[in-house]
Amino acid sequence: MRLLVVEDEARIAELVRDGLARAGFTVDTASTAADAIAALEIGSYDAAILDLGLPDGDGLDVLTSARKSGAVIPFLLLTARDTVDDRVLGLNAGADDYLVKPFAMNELVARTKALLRRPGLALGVMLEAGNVEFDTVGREVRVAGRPLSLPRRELDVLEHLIRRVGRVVPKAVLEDKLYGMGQELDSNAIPVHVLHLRRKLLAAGATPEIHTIRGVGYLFAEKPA
Amino acid sequence: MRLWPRSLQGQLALRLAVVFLVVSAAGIGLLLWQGSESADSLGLEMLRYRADELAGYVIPAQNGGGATLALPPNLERLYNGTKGENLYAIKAGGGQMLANSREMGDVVAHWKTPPDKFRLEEFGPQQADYYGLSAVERTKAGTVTIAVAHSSDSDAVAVAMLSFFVRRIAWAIPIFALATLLIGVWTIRTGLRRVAAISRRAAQIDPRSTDVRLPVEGLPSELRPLVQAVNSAFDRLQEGFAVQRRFTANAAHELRTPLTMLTAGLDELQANEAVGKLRADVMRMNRLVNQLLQVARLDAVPLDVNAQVDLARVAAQVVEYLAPWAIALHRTVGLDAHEGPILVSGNAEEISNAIRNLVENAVWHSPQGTEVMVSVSADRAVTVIDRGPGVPVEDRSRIFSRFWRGKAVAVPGAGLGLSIVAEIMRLHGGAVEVGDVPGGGAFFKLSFRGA
Repeated sequence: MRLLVVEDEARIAELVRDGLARAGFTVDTASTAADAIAALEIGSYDAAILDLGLPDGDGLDVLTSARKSGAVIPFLLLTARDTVDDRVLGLNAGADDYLVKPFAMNELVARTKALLRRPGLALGVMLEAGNVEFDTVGREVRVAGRPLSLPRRELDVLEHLIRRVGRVVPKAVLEDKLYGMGQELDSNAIPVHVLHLRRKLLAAGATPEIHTIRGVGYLFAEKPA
Repeated sequence: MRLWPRSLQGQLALRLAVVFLVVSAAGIGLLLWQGSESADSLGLEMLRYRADELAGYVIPAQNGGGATLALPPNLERLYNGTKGENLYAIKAGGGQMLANSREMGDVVAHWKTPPDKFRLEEFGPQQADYYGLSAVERTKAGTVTIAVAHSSDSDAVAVAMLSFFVRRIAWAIPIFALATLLIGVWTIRTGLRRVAAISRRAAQIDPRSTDVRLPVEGLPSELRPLVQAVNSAFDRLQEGFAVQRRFTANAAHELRTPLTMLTAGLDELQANEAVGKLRADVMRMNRLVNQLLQVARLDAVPLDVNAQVDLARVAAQVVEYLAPWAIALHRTVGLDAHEGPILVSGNAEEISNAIRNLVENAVWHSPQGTEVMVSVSADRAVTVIDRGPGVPVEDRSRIFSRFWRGKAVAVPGAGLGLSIVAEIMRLHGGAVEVGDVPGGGAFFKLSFRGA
């Protein structure tokens, strides 16, 4: 997997490159908008990580120019600006995700992996969170290497939670994804599946657990230190 | 009651009305005065003629010596008619009264030197006013003094003239006045129509659209300097806002870059107790930077608080965003929202910041294993409830000031969070309230105005 990191601060570029390299990616860096546009034209990258504040222009220009010349790879924006306007602007310009500085390296790695396994990219059939592995093709779950057999609905719930590991998945989103529009739905259906799934993961010795965020949804995350 | 109208139209109408009243009154007065003047002189002419006429009938007395008056029947009726409109008296050169009608003789008899003109007020049985003249006339029977008087009907003359004036001329005055008023009002209306257009344009200016300028084309020249001055004031304001926005954006970038380096650098290190403490320090530093930037933004740029915001949605987003962080700190966050949207008028981002600051505070102050509850109620309020030690009553008035920090708990931050919340609520015309929760803990309640 080859990534382009566009970041003008040499020290941050270096840290990001090293962090992603440790996660198994091949990383090129560019420090200006012009370099980035040139690199994206000739190199074949699987994703780009783009800082918005560049010395010779806005990172959004790089994104717009790449999208215009037909680039379909995912872009993750890094921004020091955290106002809603900036985020909306970035997502409207065709970015796939964003991280506000300062960010934790494992968050960056997790988000990058998530971008690479977006549908349509046919990549990343194996989802991971802690010691839990989810094979999206064979629909098999392993905890600490041992298979865990789960009913279909619980597998569906786990897949959505593990795809957004470390972030809250709203209950409404799960209901939509699992049951579709217009289907009769018992308001207790999702909580019951989650309850069973949580018990089974716990019994199997999974390191991440499912947290209930009352009134909002569920969060699959490593147990806090 | 305000008598003086504020509008130009009203002022113009009032002033023109006053001018027309004064001019009309003066005109009528002048006409009446001139009319009565000529009536008087006409009257005097007539009296002089009558005195001459009477003189023609003074003839020498038949019984020799002296003179006598021989009035023909028409004059007899004139002077001795029942109405008593006309009076006369004739005095011979020797001083004896030759003839008189009614009480006129008494008057004339007492004259030492006859006046040219005289007036008699409330005189005679009719109690009428008379005016008259006396003249010395040569007659066939020698020189006599003849006084004639006519009841003073000059008022009637004036009334007649006035009614003539009103019938023939005065009806045109209100029409003329009305026409002038209409022309004035029409001129002001059309002249100021551009002002209404400018007002509509000015109403569109808000903190997000400071680039709107007022059009100068087609304006009356009197108003141009005002509009141009307002436009250049807008230019200066816009430039000021732009400088402030650039400053906070640059400051954000410059402050966060080293923090990013630190965070990423720490991630490289093997996890141990020292690294954990350093991480917490960086986190604290980061929170401080975020809060300082929020303070700078709120101070520098006017906030647009006129968007429709769904409190339930904003609160859900904040809970969603902060839940992973709270769980990493062994606490959790929950939402208790009313079904459906709860709309208020405000700025979604800053409302989100306010709730976020409250939830962060609540998480820091709660014991491990507890839940911070965010509740959104239909009366347009968001309440954040924790299970911490609560806020002592004596501190409650001070916790919303900048850089105020409680003594009891070691919480990361510079004491800016609650001041930011208070400022955001002030800008929204809302209120923040703090209190105790039964069973321990504090609540912070944000109350908003309607959408």
